[in-house]
Amino acid sequence: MKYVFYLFMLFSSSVAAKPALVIDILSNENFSERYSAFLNGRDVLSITDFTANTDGSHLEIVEMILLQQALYLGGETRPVEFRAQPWAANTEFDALIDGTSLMLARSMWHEDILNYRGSLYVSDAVIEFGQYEAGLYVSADNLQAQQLQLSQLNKLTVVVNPRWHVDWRALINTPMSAISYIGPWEEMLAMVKANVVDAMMINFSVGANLDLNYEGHLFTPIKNVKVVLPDTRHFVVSKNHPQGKEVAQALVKGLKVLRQRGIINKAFQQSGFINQQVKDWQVVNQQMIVTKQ
Amino acid sequence: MINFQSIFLFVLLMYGGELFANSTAQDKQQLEHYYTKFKADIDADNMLHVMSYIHQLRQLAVSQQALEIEVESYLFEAMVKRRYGAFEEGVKLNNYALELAQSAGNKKYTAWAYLHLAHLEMELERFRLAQQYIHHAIDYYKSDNSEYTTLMYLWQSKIYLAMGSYHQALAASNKAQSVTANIGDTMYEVAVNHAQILLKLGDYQAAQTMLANVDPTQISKSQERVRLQYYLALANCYLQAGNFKLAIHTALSQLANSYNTRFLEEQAQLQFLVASAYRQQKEFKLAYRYLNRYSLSKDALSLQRRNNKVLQLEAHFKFDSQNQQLLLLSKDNALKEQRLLQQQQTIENHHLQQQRWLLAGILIMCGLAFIYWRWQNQRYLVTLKQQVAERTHALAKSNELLKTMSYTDSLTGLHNRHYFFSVINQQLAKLARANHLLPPAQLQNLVFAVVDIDHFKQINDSHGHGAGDLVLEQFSKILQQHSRDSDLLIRWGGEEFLLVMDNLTFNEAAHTLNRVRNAVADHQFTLNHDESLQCTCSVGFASYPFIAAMPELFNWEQVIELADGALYLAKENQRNAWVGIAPSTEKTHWQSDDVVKHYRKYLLAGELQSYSNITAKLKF
Repeated sequence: MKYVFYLFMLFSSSVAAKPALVIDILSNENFSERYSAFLNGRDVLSITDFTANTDGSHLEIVEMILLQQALYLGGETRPVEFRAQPWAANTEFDALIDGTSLMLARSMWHEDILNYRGSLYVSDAVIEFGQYEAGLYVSADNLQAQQLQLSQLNKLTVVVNPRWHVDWRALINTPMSAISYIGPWEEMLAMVKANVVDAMMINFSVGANLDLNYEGHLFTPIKNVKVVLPDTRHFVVSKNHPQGKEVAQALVKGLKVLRQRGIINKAFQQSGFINQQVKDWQVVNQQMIVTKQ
Repeated sequence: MINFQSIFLFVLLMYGGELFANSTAQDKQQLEHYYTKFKADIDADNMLHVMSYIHQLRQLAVSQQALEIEVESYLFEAMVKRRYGAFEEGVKLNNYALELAQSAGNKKYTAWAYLHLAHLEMELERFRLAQQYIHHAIDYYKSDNSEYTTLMYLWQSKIYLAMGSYHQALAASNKAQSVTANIGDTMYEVAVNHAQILLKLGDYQAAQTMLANVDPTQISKSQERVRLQYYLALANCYLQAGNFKLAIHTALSQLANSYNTRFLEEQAQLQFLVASAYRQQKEFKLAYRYLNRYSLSKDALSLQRRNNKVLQLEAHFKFDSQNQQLLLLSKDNALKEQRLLQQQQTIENHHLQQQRWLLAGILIMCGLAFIYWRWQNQRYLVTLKQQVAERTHALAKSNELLKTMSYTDSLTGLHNRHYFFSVINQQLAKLARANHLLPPAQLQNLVFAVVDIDHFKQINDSHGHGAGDLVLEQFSKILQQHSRDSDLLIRWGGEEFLLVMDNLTFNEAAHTLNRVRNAVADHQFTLNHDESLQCTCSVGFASYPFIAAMPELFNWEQVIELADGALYLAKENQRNAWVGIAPSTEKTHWQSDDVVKHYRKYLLAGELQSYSNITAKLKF
């Protein structure tokens, strides 16, 4: 179902005077309610507290907020209008390449945009290398898997979509066995629930015990173990879009300011994307980061 | 394929010379011939041709114990097999090479075998194993700081790149570049690899700088795969920079060059790159064409990869199952050995037990034998003792007999002089004891009387010795009849007898002797043939102690001599008479020798007194 909603950025009196910037969001990630709930009536540009008031992952929402704040700080004061687009896959950038889409409100894995760098403006990393951590979520009733120690992870099977290149790379650099599955995210979770596989890599969920409750079934991460997704994430702006260049410039500028102010990290931490509960957990693929330093 | 040819060449050049040292001339020559050919073919990338004689080369190497060549031959064959997709064989041969090098303790070749295995495992996408293998190889070459050090790090970097761990790949690549001894193709390869990593990280400017270090004229001379990768990286730089035309141009030229070659992976990447570039140029038809080609290449690659994976699984399965079988066999062997050992132990124990029993048996037998021996011995001893006792008894008897015989005169049955000598001292001692406590008036004495048959010689002469003997026998009987048991009657010699009488006074003795004399004179001596005769005897006697007050003054010999003297007197004066000599005075000083010698003088002097049955005055 195609769902479109508009969000007007209301700034004093000049709101109606400027045409809106249309930024795409993915229609299959329908989170308008959660977005509204997160804002809770607050002005998006004045948000300094990113603390989540709901369970689950809030990365998409935080990115949407950061994007708007960055554009504004970079001088792009036009209101932002979000447009939900039914993309076949989030690795296809046709609209961005062609310039029919200005930009996407989500950050992209750098790896996915490599071949299109010539057609895209790529922002500085929003999520830096090593920042993106995921848990190995197992079914809450799979006690055996939950009790595995770091040294026993070679016994663990993890479902992964090979199209998620970064996830794939992360997994093959761990001792775990990757079970590839190309299909909907929900079905992969169902595989975990049905014990077809032991685990799935999922962003740490905000909430008690980091548990993820999906359609009444509880999933929980294996304690003291986390995986780093070995790539950076960036906002991309179409080079072929007429507003592309100025928006990209504003974005780069604004992101720098946000970074300097520590807003980005604060946002990730408060929202639970950078989860303090797992701060001291062991990174299974630590070697992929260590070598960088 | 990386510059394995040149690597082989280096290795062969390094070791070639030494390897032939111990070979026999002809075989050595042949091996050398094949080896030279081998090197030349590798150099000329004539891999499949080498396969036609690789076995001969290996055989020669084996026969001449040129281990390095043997290992090389395995590594080479494995490489060819792997290159053409025969992964199972590749795994096997590489493992042979590794085992050979390891068993020979050749660390260099072990490192090379690990490198080959790492390459193989990387192609089979078993990255963790590949990393382990390359790590071994790096361990050996780490401090070498040679082109091979670079090569090992390069391969580590390649494996990391294939694994998608770009920062690790970059670090390994930096290490490869930091080796000072870099020369030739490896250097270019390192640069290309480094650029590939940078491109994965989106740093196309740095990648371009890196590629600028590579001389295009040199790269055209190097291996095809390296060349392809160089241009692919270059095209990627252009693509990421948005220079689509140049990207397409670069990629297309390489696609044309590599058409119908085995570098399918690089072709697919080039095709996708071209499609991307065309797509971004909005050349959709062309983009579609190349995307289609890419899709075909990728399909083929997928098939190949799938096949490889199956083969890999099979190869590993076979290798594993072989290993498992070997393990099982070795376990089985160990078990058997253990059993054998146990059996041996049991047998040994049994033997030991047997030996113990045997020993115990022997000991018991020995004990029994000893006891038996002791028993026998005892018995024998007893018998012996008995015998000894018997013999002793017999001996005693015979001694007695002998004694008796030696003390007895065979003719008369009387004691002889020997007997007398043996008992006289006892008699005297007895006398001395008896006299010891008696008063002088009651002192006892012994009377020594010498009795001699008168004219015995005449009897012998006229009647023969037989008659003489008869006379002697009968004479001695008379003497016996007239003597008491306590008296000693001795055949003193010839026809002379000695009669020692105790407890008799001088007179009583004279009386007894007179009776003897009469009995003899009265006796009718019977001879043979009913003859008979008469004869007389003379007796001389003296008493011991000769002087009662001084028993020690005259010993018994002297007393006998005096008795003998008296006998002479009897004979000289009459015959058939008895004469006794006794001291007549109370003289206390006697010269016993002189008295015995000159008794006649003492008789004449009256110091001695004679007693006789001769009525006439005795002549001295």
